[in-house]
Amino acid sequence: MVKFSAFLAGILIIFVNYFNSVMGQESSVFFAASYYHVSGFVIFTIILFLRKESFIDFKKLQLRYYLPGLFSVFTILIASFTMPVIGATMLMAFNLIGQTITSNLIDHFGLLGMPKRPLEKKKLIGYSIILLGIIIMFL
Amino acid sequence: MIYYILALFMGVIVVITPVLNGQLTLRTSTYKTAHLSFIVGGLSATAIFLIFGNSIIGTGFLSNTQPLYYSSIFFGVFLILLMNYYSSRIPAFLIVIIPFVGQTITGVLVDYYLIDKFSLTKLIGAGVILVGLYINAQIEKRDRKKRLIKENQGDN
Repeated sequence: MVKFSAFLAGILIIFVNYFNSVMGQESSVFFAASYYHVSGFVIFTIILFLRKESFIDFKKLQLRYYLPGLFSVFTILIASFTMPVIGATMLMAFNLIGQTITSNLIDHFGLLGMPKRPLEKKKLIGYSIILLGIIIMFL
Repeated sequence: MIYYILALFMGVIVVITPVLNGQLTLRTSTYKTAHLSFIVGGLSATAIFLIFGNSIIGTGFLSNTQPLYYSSIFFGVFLILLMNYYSSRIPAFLIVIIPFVGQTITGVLVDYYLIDKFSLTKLIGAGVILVGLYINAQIEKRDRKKRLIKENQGDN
Protein backbone atom coordinates (compact mmCIF):
# COMPACT_ATOMS: atom_id res chain seq x y z
CA MET A 1 0.00 0.00 0.00
CA VAL A 2 2.77 2.40 1.00
CA LYS A 3 4.79 1.47 -2.11
CA PHE A 4 1.74 1.90 -4.28
CA SER A 5 1.20 5.39 -2.85
CA ALA A 6 4.77 6.31 -3.90
CA PHE A 7 4.08 4.91 -7.37
CA LEU A 8 0.84 6.90 -7.54
CA ALA A 9 2.77 10.03 -6.53
CA GLY A 10 4.99 9.56 -9.61
CA ILE A 11 1.90 9.35 -11.83
CA LEU A 12 0.38 12.43 -10.19
CA ILE A 13 3.55 14.49 -10.72
CA ILE A 14 3.23 13.98 -14.48
CA PHE A 15 -0.50 14.77 -14.46
CA VAL A 16 -0.08 17.96 -12.42
CA ASN A 17 2.69 19.13 -14.79
CA TYR A 18 0.72 18.09 -17.87
CA PHE A 19 -2.55 19.75 -16.80
CA ASN A 20 -0.76 22.95 -15.86
CA SER A 21 1.09 22.86 -19.16
CA VAL A 22 -2.14 22.48 -21.18
CA MET A 23 -3.81 25.22 -19.16
CA GLY A 24 -0.77 27.40 -19.79
CA GLN A 25 -0.99 26.82 -23.53
CA GLU A 26 -4.72 27.43 -23.74
CA SER A 27 -4.81 30.50 -21.51
CA SER A 28 -1.55 31.83 -20.11
CA VAL A 29 1.33 30.18 -18.30
CA PHE A 30 1.12 32.92 -15.68
CA PHE A 31 -2.59 32.38 -15.22
CA ALA A 32 -2.04 28.63 -14.73
CA ALA A 33 0.54 29.29 -11.99
CA SER A 34 -1.68 31.88 -10.31
CA TYR A 35 -4.79 29.68 -10.46
CA TYR A 36 -2.92 26.69 -9.02
CA HIS A 37 -1.49 28.55 -6.03
CA VAL A 38 -4.51 30.65 -5.14
CA SER A 39 -6.77 27.57 -5.15
CA GLY A 40 -4.13 25.63 -3.18
CA PHE A 41 -4.16 28.46 -0.63
CA VAL A 42 -7.96 28.22 -0.35
CA ILE A 43 -7.87 24.41 0.07
CA PHE A 44 -5.16 24.48 2.76
CA THR A 45 -6.89 27.35 4.58
CA ILE A 46 -9.96 25.10 4.78
CA ILE A 47 -7.83 22.14 5.92
CA LEU A 48 -6.20 24.24 8.67
CA PHE A 49 -9.60 25.53 9.71
CA LEU A 50 -11.05 21.99 9.90
CA ARG A 51 -8.04 20.77 11.89
CA LYS A 52 -8.38 23.80 14.17
CA GLU A 53 -4.76 24.74 13.48
CA SER A 54 -3.65 28.37 13.43
CA PHE A 55 -1.76 29.98 10.53
CA ILE A 56 2.01 29.97 10.60
CA ASP A 57 3.66 32.66 12.74
CA PHE A 58 5.28 34.97 10.20
CA LYS A 59 7.21 36.95 12.82
CA LYS A 60 9.39 34.00 13.76
CA LEU A 61 9.90 32.80 10.20
CA GLN A 62 13.38 32.84 8.67
CA LEU A 63 13.57 34.31 5.18
CA ARG A 64 14.64 31.04 3.53
CA TYR A 65 11.37 29.34 4.40
CA TYR A 66 9.61 31.66 1.97
CA LEU A 67 11.61 30.13 -0.90
CA PRO A 68 9.57 26.90 -1.40
CA GLY A 69 6.51 28.99 -2.31
CA LEU A 70 8.49 30.87 -4.95
CA PHE A 71 10.06 27.64 -6.18
CA SER A 72 6.64 26.09 -6.55
CA VAL A 73 5.69 28.92 -8.94
CA PHE A 74 8.92 28.41 -10.91
CA THR A 75 8.19 24.68 -11.12
CA ILE A 76 4.81 25.28 -12.77
CA LEU A 77 6.15 27.99 -15.08
CA ILE A 78 9.06 25.79 -16.18
CA ALA A 79 6.86 22.70 -16.69
CA SER A 80 4.38 24.77 -18.71
CA PHE A 81 7.13 26.29 -20.87
CA THR A 82 9.17 23.18 -21.47
CA MET A 83 6.80 20.20 -21.63
CA PRO A 84 5.16 21.15 -24.96
CA VAL A 85 8.63 21.50 -26.55
CA ILE A 86 10.77 18.70 -25.09
CA GLY A 87 8.02 16.35 -23.85
CA ALA A 88 7.20 14.84 -20.46
CA THR A 89 9.94 12.18 -20.48
CA MET A 90 12.81 14.56 -21.33
CA LEU A 91 11.58 17.06 -18.75
CA MET A 92 11.72 14.26 -16.20
CA ALA A 93 15.19 13.10 -17.31
CA PHE A 94 16.76 16.58 -17.06
CA ASN A 95 14.92 17.19 -13.86
CA LEU A 96 16.66 14.07 -12.56
CA ILE A 97 20.12 15.38 -13.55
CA GLY A 98 19.41 18.62 -11.66
CA GLN A 99 18.20 16.62 -8.67
CA THR A 100 21.24 14.35 -8.67
CA ILE A 101 23.75 17.23 -8.87
CA THR A 102 21.97 19.29 -6.20
CA SER A 103 21.43 16.48 -3.71
CA ASN A 104 25.11 15.51 -4.01
CA LEU A 105 26.26 19.10 -3.53
CA ILE A 106 24.03 19.42 -0.45
CA ASP A 107 25.39 16.15 1.00
CA HIS A 108 29.02 16.78 0.06
CA PHE A 109 29.25 20.31 1.48
CA GLY A 110 26.57 19.92 4.17
CA LEU A 111 24.50 22.79 2.76
CA LEU A 112 21.14 24.05 4.12
CA GLY A 113 21.90 22.72 7.58
CA MET A 114 22.16 19.09 6.42
CA PRO A 115 24.87 16.77 7.80
CA LYS A 116 28.06 16.71 5.72
CA ARG A 117 28.53 13.44 3.81
CA PRO A 118 31.36 13.48 1.26
CA LEU A 119 30.63 12.02 -2.18
CA GLU A 120 31.28 8.29 -2.42
CA LYS A 121 33.54 7.58 -5.42
CA LYS A 122 31.73 4.26 -5.89
CA LYS A 123 28.61 6.20 -6.71
CA LEU A 124 30.22 7.48 -9.91
CA ILE A 125 29.40 4.03 -11.39
CA GLY A 126 25.69 4.64 -10.86
CA TYR A 127 25.94 8.21 -12.15
CA SER A 128 27.71 7.04 -15.31
CA ILE A 129 24.87 4.58 -15.94
CA ILE A 130 22.28 7.34 -15.35
CA LEU A 131 24.13 9.53 -17.86
CA LEU A 132 24.19 6.66 -20.35
CA GLY A 133 20.42 6.28 -19.94
CA ILE A 134 19.92 9.98 -20.72
CA ILE A 135 22.14 9.71 -23.84
CA ILE A 136 20.04 6.71 -24.99
CA MET A 137 16.90 8.84 -24.58
CA PHE A 138 18.29 11.31 -27.10
CA LEU A 139 18.90 8.63 -29.78
CA MET B 1 18.96 24.27 -25.24
CA ILE B 2 17.30 26.77 -22.89
CA TYR B 3 14.45 24.30 -22.32
CA TYR B 4 16.87 21.62 -21.11
CA ILE B 5 18.61 24.11 -18.79
CA LEU B 6 15.23 25.12 -17.35
CA ALA B 7 14.32 21.44 -16.87
CA LEU B 8 17.66 20.98 -15.07
CA PHE B 9 17.00 24.02 -12.88
CA MET B 10 13.62 22.54 -12.02
CA GLY B 11 15.51 19.53 -10.62
CA VAL B 12 17.58 21.89 -8.41
CA ILE B 13 14.50 23.45 -6.83
CA VAL B 14 12.74 20.09 -6.57
CA VAL B 15 15.52 19.00 -4.18
CA ILE B 16 15.85 22.23 -2.18
CA THR B 17 12.08 22.56 -1.58
CA PRO B 18 11.53 19.40 0.52
CA VAL B 19 14.72 20.10 2.53
CA LEU B 20 13.43 23.52 3.59
CA ASN B 21 9.83 22.35 3.95
CA GLY B 22 10.98 19.35 5.98
CA GLN B 23 12.85 21.62 8.42
CA LEU B 24 9.82 23.88 8.77
CA THR B 25 7.44 20.94 9.20
CA LEU B 26 9.47 19.73 12.20
CA ARG B 27 8.92 23.12 13.86
CA THR B 28 5.31 23.66 12.81
CA SER B 29 3.11 21.16 10.91
CA THR B 30 2.75 19.69 7.42
CA TYR B 31 -0.41 21.66 6.74
CA LYS B 32 0.96 24.97 7.98
CA THR B 33 4.05 24.47 5.80
CA ALA B 34 1.97 23.69 2.69
CA HIS B 35 -0.30 26.64 3.50
CA LEU B 36 2.69 28.98 3.67
CA SER B 37 3.94 27.69 0.30
CA PHE B 38 0.60 28.42 -1.30
CA ILE B 39 0.39 31.90 0.31
CA VAL B 40 3.82 32.88 -1.05
CA GLY B 41 3.14 31.09 -4.35
CA GLY B 42 -0.33 32.62 -4.73
CA LEU B 43 0.89 36.16 -4.08
CA SER B 44 3.96 35.93 -6.31
CA ALA B 45 2.24 34.07 -9.17
CA THR B 46 -0.68 36.52 -9.16
CA ALA B 47 1.76 39.45 -9.17
CA ILE B 48 3.63 37.89 -12.12
CA PHE B 49 0.33 37.23 -13.92
CA LEU B 50 -0.83 40.84 -13.44
CA ILE B 51 2.48 42.21 -14.69
CA PHE B 52 3.20 39.88 -17.61
CA GLY B 53 -0.18 38.35 -18.44
CA ASN B 54 -2.24 41.55 -18.41
CA SER B 55 -2.88 41.74 -22.13
CA ILE B 56 -4.64 38.37 -22.08
CA ILE B 57 -7.28 39.36 -19.52
CA GLY B 58 -10.60 40.14 -21.15
CA THR B 59 -10.14 38.00 -24.24
CA GLY B 60 -12.32 35.24 -22.84
CA PHE B 61 -9.39 32.88 -22.42
CA LEU B 62 -10.91 31.25 -19.36
CA SER B 63 -13.52 29.54 -21.49
CA ASN B 64 -10.79 28.09 -23.74
CA THR B 65 -9.58 25.82 -20.95
CA GLN B 66 -11.47 22.58 -20.46
CA PRO B 67 -12.82 22.14 -16.90
CA LEU B 68 -10.74 18.96 -16.49
CA TYR B 69 -7.50 20.92 -16.44
CA TYR B 70 -8.69 23.00 -13.51
CA SER B 71 -8.50 19.81 -11.46
CA SER B 72 -4.68 20.07 -11.43
CA ILE B 73 -4.80 21.57 -7.94
CA PHE B 74 -6.71 18.58 -6.52
CA PHE B 75 -4.04 16.26 -7.92
CA GLY B 76 -1.44 18.64 -6.45
CA VAL B 77 -2.97 18.62 -2.96
CA PHE B 78 -3.40 14.85 -3.07
CA LEU B 79 0.25 14.58 -4.13
CA ILE B 80 1.42 16.60 -1.09
CA LEU B 81 -0.65 14.41 1.24
CA LEU B 82 0.65 11.22 -0.41
CA MET B 83 4.29 12.36 -0.14
CA ASN B 84 3.80 13.05 3.56
CA TYR B 85 2.33 9.60 3.96
CA TYR B 86 4.95 7.47 2.21
CA SER B 87 8.19 9.42 2.77
CA SER B 88 8.41 8.37 6.42
CA ARG B 89 7.16 4.83 5.81
CA ILE B 90 9.32 3.40 3.01
CA PRO B 91 13.11 2.86 2.89
CA ALA B 92 14.93 6.02 1.75
CA PHE B 93 16.27 4.43 -1.44
CA LEU B 94 12.75 3.68 -2.65
CA ILE B 95 11.64 7.31 -2.19
CA VAL B 96 13.33 8.24 -5.48
CA ILE B 97 13.01 4.94 -7.33
CA ILE B 98 9.30 4.10 -7.02
CA PRO B 99 7.98 7.57 -8.05
CA PHE B 100 10.53 7.51 -10.91
CA VAL B 101 8.96 4.29 -12.26
CA GLY B 102 5.48 5.84 -11.99
CA GLN B 103 6.71 9.00 -13.74
CA THR B 104 8.42 7.07 -16.54
CA ILE B 105 5.38 4.95 -17.41
CA THR B 106 3.04 7.96 -17.29
CA GLY B 107 5.53 10.23 -19.09
CA VAL B 108 5.92 7.81 -22.00
CA LEU B 109 2.11 7.45 -22.24
CA VAL B 110 1.58 11.24 -22.09
CA ASP B 111 4.21 11.72 -24.80
CA TYR B 112 2.49 9.06 -26.88
CA TYR B 113 -0.75 11.00 -26.48
CA LEU B 114 0.94 14.37 -27.15
CA ILE B 115 3.22 13.47 -30.04
CA ASP B 116 1.35 10.35 -31.15
CA LYS B 117 4.54 8.35 -31.23
CA PHE B 118 5.69 5.62 -28.90
CA SER B 119 9.35 6.13 -28.08
CA LEU B 120 11.12 2.85 -27.34
CA THR B 121 14.52 4.55 -26.91
CA LYS B 122 13.11 6.81 -24.17
CA LEU B 123 11.70 3.80 -22.39
CA ILE B 124 15.01 1.89 -22.68
CA GLY B 125 16.89 5.03 -21.55
CA ALA B 126 14.61 5.33 -18.52
CA GLY B 127 15.24 1.65 -17.75
CA VAL B 128 19.02 2.24 -17.83
CA ILE B 129 18.60 5.30 -15.56
CA LEU B 130 16.66 3.11 -13.16
CA VAL B 131 19.58 0.64 -13.02
CA GLY B 132 21.95 3.54 -12.18
CA LEU B 133 19.60 4.83 -9.47
CA TYR B 134 19.29 1.35 -8.01
CA ILE B 135 23.06 0.75 -7.89
CA ASN B 136 23.67 4.05 -6.08
CA ALA B 137 20.80 3.42 -3.72
CA GLN B 138 22.34 0.06 -2.79
CA ILE B 139 25.76 1.70 -2.23
CA GLU B 140 24.12 4.27 0.02
CA LYS B 141 22.21 1.60 1.90
CA ARG B 142 25.40 -0.39 2.59
CA ASP B 143 27.26 2.74 3.73
CA ARG B 144 24.45 3.68 6.07
CA LYS B 145 24.60 0.23 7.63
CA LYS B 146 28.39 0.49 8.05
CA ARG B 147 28.02 3.94 9.64
CA LEU B 148 25.38 2.67 12.05
CA ILE B 149 27.56 -0.28 13.08
CA LYS B 150 30.52 2.07 13.61
CA GLU B 151 28.40 4.47 15.69
CA ASN B 152 27.10 1.61 17.84
CA GLN B 153 30.63 0.31 18.40
CA GLY B 154 31.67 3.85 19.36
CA ASP B 155 28.86 3.99 21.90
CA ASN B 156 29.98 0.73 23.49
